[in-house]
Amino acid sequence: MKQHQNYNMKKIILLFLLILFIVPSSFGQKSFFYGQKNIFSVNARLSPRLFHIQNDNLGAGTSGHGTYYQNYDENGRLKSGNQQVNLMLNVSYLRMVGRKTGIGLEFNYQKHHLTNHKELEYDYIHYDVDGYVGNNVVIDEFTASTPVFNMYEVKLIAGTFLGPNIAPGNHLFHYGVGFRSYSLDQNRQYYYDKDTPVTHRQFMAGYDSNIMFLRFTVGYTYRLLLTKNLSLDIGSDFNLGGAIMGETYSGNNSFPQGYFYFENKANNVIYDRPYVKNRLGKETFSSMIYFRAGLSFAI
Amino acid sequence: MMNLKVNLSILLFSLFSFFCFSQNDFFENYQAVSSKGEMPSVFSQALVDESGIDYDYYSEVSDEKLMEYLQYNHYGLRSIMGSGKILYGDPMSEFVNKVASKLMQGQPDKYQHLQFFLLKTNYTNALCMEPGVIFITTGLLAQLENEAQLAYILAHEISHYIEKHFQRSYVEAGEDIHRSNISYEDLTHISKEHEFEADKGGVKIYHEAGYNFEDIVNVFSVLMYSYLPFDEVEIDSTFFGNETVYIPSSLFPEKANPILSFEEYDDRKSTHPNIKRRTEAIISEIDKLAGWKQNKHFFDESEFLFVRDIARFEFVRNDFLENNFIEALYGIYLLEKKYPNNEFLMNIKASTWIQMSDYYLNNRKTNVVRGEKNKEGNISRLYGFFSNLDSRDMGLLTVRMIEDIYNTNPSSPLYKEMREFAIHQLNKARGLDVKTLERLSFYEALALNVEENMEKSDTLEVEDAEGELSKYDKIRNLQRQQSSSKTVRELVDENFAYFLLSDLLEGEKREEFLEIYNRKEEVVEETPSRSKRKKSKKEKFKAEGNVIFIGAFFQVTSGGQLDVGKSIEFERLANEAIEEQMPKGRFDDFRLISGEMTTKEYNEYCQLVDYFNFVGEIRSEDMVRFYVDKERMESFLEKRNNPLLLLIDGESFKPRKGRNVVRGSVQFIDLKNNQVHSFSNYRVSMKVNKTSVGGLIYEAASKL
Repeated sequence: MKQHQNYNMKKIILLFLLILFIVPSSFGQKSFFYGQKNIFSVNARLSPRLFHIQNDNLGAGTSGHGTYYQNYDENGRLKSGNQQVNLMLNVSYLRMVGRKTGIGLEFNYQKHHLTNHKELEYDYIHYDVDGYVGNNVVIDEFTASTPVFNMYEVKLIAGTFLGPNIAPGNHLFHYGVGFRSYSLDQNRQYYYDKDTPVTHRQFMAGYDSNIMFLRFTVGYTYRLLLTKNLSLDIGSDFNLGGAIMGETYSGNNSFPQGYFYFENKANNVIYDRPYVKNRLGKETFSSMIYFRAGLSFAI
Repeated sequence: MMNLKVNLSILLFSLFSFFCFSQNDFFENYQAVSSKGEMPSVFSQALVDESGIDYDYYSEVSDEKLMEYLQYNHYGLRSIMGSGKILYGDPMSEFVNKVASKLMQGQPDKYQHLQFFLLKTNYTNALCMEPGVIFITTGLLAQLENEAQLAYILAHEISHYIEKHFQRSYVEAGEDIHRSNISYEDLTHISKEHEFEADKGGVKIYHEAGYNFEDIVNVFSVLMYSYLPFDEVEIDSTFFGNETVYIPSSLFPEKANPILSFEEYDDRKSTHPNIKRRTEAIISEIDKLAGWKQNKHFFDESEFLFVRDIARFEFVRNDFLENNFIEALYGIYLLEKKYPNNEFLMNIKASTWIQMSDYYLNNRKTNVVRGEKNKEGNISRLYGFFSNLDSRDMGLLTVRMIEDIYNTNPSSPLYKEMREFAIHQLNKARGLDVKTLERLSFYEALALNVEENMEKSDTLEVEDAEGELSKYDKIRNLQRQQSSSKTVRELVDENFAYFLLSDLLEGEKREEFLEIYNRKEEVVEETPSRSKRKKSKKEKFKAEGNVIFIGAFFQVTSGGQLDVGKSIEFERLANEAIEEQMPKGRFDDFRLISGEMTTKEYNEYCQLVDYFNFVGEIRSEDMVRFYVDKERMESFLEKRNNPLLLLIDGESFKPRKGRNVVRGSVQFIDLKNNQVHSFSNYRVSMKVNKTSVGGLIYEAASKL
């Protein structure tokens, strides 16, 4: 009856396996893929400007698809366009501190056009001294350059490698918190209209001070190993909101202050600070998703 | 005439060689059997090496499939050869080779391609692998009755080789595998046909060699009952080796469980046909052949019995290593009838008792008596006995057994250590106050009781005449009363254990006994505080000493099936990575791949495998002290600085969803303190390649 059970070659082969797998006690210790604990990454991030493309409460009219911007070239020609996506460059460093967890720093840079409104115009109706409406309706087109900002961001990140793979493995889930700073690109010449260049002071209130935001993000990266150390990263980041740093302004400030420039050129600027800050805040917190791709090197 | 001369010369040679050493000396100084002579090339030979392929031999396999077939064989053979369980050049292997050469004397051309090895396992088995490598297990040899039965088993396996069954099975299975409706029964049917063929071919080879036909039929009975111990002897009072101690027979079941094996078992799911069918087929083959001779032996019968006894000694050792304690004790009981006071057997016996007691006293009795209901024959009574024994009685009985062994050789440090351990272990026996243990043996107390009863009636008669008693009569009476007051327990079976240690509780021995019992633990390990525990977790493991690499096992499966080609590729990449990453100075490679291993190193490797096997089975690290080959292991370890055993295993598969995965684990076992450092989280979603396999090896190399 049992003879045939014993007479089984597989059992003999399994002997060796049994020897290998029986251990009296064990405790896990930290180990990493080739001992890699430092991960350096370079990424390009693309953010479709989804929310502020459409009509929003900061301005009248619509800007069509993408973000409308306008500026003047060296010959004073007005150029305008719709920016569909933001491109952000990113470098980051992550250091493994646990079997699956790591902490690090991330730096981002982006050239940022403030969102403007295409065909924004103001029906400027003149009243006479008696209060009657005259016939001299003036339609002012908004012809000023769109401000361009250098955006810098520094973030603390904490990541966890998900799944059963050894870290740094395939799936990285990470949180980030950091400051985003916008500063006006002062290497550019801005214009009121094609004939009227303006100084930075005239162009934007508080042009030489940065506008700061605190931002929380959550992200996911898939690390596809190309070689022992190098991997292709594909992932995305989501905005979790944040806080405005420094002075805050209530109200929508729907229009650039510049419309009153006609009245008192000496005292007014085209873009006042509440408008710009609220506008940038809107853009910072409503850039909900970034897609990114890049390379990372782990040692 | 020629045959007769050959037979005679073999006989004379064997007798000469046999009497060159004494069997008794051999067993008196018995140590675990080891290999001798030059290491056969098959250990390191790669079947897939194209330069060495004998294309004529592999005629059954098509050219396209040949490499795949060879890989398949290579993988299987390597698994067995690398198991640390193979023997060559030892008396058993030598004898098997002699019998095989006798069988094949008419076919020397075929014999030269065959190689025979012993496989140290208690499974009853024999198998044939390419290229003509035949294994006989020590378990099988231990069960056989004579040389003729061994000859038939060998003839059967040789027939598998001659008929190229391995090749044919591979081809037939390969064709069938493409059929979607293939059932397991169909596949095993192929194998059964081959078994019938091998039986038929085996009978022919066996007949030509001149053995008798009766033992062919007998060998099937041996196989059928091979799941039982190698002998069936009723257990009597000699089992406990001390006639002066009383072990109640009521603790034993009245009857042994019946032996249930029968010849006509359902063999549909077995690779081999059932015994009845095989026996019937064989008898018809026997009838076809004329001129049967009557030889049971061509070599001296004592030589067969000698090698069978070695196999039986190994049988006991294997049971011990695999924690089959009751089987080990029963095997020792059988062997001690022939080899009383044998040191090897006593060492195993002592260690077995100590370990059993360790299980009992730590509430793990079930580990010892597991499977009791399924045991058949006399051993079932022994299982019944240990099942009825409670842990307190087990602790006391163990002290008794160890004490008796210690008394045979009080100078043995191992026995002394065991004795002290066993006595001290009594602290763990619940409800036991050693001060209440009896100072009389059960039989002494019983005799005294009988005497007292008789004297009571005498006293009644002479009471009136007290005044007439002499002074010395009065003293004697008083002594008797004092003596009888030593026994406070009722003389019933339940109390038998209280009487087991009477000799240890008298005079000087009592002081020593109590001193050992009350001795404080030498090393009291306090539970570390939480902060310390955390700290120790953070400490990095670094392998400081010599690293002994004994095992690597790599397996690749695809679609649930073993992919032999890729498994070999996995191994090749791992070997490259090992070569590249491991530091040369303190890395002792005990694997068989290099082909440069000496027999001495191979024996050390086998020793390590056995040790690891033992360590893997024991309940607590404390038990490592009582490893039976402790001295040999210690001398091996002394040669190395803080040795660590390194084991690596790796596998690759493709989950139902997702990419290919390579995963594996690395374990370092500190041989000094038996601590295991395990790194088992290696897993990458990659195919088997240099990077993925190299990462696994890095897991080990980075710790050196």
